[in-house]
Amino acid sequence: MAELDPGNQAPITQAPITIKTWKEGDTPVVSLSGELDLSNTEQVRAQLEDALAGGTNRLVFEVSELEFMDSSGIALLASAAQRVREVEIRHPPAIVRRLLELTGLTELLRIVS
Amino acid sequence: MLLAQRPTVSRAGPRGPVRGRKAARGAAVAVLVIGLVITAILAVVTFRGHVRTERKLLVLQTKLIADAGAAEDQLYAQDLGGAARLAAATDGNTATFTKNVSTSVTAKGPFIVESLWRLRGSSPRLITAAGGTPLLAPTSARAAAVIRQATASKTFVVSELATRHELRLGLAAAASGPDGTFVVYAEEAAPADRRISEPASSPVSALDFALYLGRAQTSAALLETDAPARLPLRGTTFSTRIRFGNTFLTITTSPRSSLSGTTGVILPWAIAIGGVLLTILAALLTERLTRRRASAERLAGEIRQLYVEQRSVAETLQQALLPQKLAEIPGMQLAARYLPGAAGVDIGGDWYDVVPVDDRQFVFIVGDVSGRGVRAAAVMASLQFAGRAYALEGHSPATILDRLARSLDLERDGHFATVLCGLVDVGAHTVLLANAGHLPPLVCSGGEARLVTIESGSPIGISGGASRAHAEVKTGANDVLIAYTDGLVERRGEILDAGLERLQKAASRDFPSLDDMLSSIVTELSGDEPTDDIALIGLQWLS
Repeated sequence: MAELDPGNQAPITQAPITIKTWKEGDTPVVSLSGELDLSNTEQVRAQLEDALAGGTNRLVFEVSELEFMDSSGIALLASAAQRVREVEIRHPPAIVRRLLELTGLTELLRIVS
Repeated sequence: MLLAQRPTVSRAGPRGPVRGRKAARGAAVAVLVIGLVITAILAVVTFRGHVRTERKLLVLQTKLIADAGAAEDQLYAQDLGGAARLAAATDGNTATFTKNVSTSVTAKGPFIVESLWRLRGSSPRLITAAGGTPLLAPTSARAAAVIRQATASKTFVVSELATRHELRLGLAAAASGPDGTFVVYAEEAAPADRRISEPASSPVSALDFALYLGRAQTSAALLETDAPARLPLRGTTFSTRIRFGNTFLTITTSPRSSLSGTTGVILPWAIAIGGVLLTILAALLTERLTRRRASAERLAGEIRQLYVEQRSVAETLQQALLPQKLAEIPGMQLAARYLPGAAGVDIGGDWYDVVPVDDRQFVFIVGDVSGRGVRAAAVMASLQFAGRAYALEGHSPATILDRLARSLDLERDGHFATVLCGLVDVGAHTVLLANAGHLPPLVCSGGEARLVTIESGSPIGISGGASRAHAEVKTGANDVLIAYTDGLVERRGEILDAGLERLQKAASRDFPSLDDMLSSIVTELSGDEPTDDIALIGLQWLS
């Protein structure tokens, strides 16, 4: 029965993430700390929608405490960049910055160290 | 083919519930048996405790009665002995005797008659009697025997006189004086039918008792009893002997009701009944819980089965989308690997493809669609087929990527893809590369591996950002180019460069064949259970 162990088949657990949003003037800031992956992007996306509800030209992701991101996270950031003229990725740790570089997104997203 | 591979789920169906019900019944019976045994033990222990307490109380109360009896013996000895000694001292003065015994011979007892006898030689003579005539005839042989016996005894002697109507106890004590031996003889009446009723206030009112003269507990020896039922006493009884003159009284007691109160009587029953009820309740609960657990386990089994099934369907789909056999390119050795990740049942969107363009050139594509699931696989399939078509039309890698980019939109489709595309000129030993956000390829030459750094444009599906430029790589004979997806190098919580370094290290060796090389790399980097899908393709120049 070992091969039927659902623990290996379906990770239902959600990766830990803390999402905070606030405004700097008119610019919404979304702070993400923890891990951003397929298991929680929908949750982040919902909060992002709220932050973008008023319409804006600029959006800031504060990711200094983001420890992990997968392609779902990239999709989330890139998706925001498709809708908002300027998306700033603030203080990305090396792990995140390197991922964005290798994915060819450094020209699409404004990386601020 | 997909349907043919479906594992049957219904196997667990009919057998499962039956087994569950059996298990439930077994558990319930076990609980029932254990519960009843515990209840029985508790009830018996409580009952025995109660019996012990009752017995102790009975013994205690009986001893109280015995003490009272012993005090009476003393009293009689003093009374009779005292009267005899007084008579001896006063030479049988009748007035003194009558006055002396007036407190003993009353309506309340203890004696109904008390008489004074003088023993001269061997025949006794009645001098006087208070309270009436004794039943003991003065001239009878019986009287002579009693009086003689009294003179020989240190304490009073006891005899029985029975008529048809009554029973009397004769008590005689002797004393010798200067003028001879005097005997005081008193008679005490046993109650009618030997039955008395103790007042409710009496400390022994909770007991039935029977008092016998001597050791035998026979109806002939019975002096008095307060038992309403027939003798001998039944149930819990206790007997003790009390000295009475020259003989004994035997007292036997039995509690009328519980001496320690009703709680002691009720408790064992309460435990027994309560325990049985609780046990039945527990057994029913156990049966229900066990049955529920069994059905939950069955459901979990079915869900596991469905997971496996779903996963197997998804994997089959993915494998079907990948090239079953790589195209054969003269002058080149090609090999590829695909490993499904363990992350859930959703399949990933990794793919690789090799498209011959003409005699000298072919295009290879390695891509990775973001996200997972059948939709990601569908996006992967459409990109794969479109890429193949653009390659066949003879487009450059950058153009192939730009065209692919038109067919996918992250906002619309919910997915993007990183794609590495290369045009290989076999004879010229060149590779023209274009990259849409994909990880850099590895070129291994003479046991050394290096990553090809190329400017990356935006991934497919994400508009804006950098354009996709070309980079050319020169290769030598036996060189190997490896392109792969991120599952090979990515580890959670680790910077990508670490994984790239690991890959570089794993590839920096001499391998007997390309197949060995790929197998070795995959084994070294993926570990036992890769979480993400892994796709990689290796191209080796044979000359």
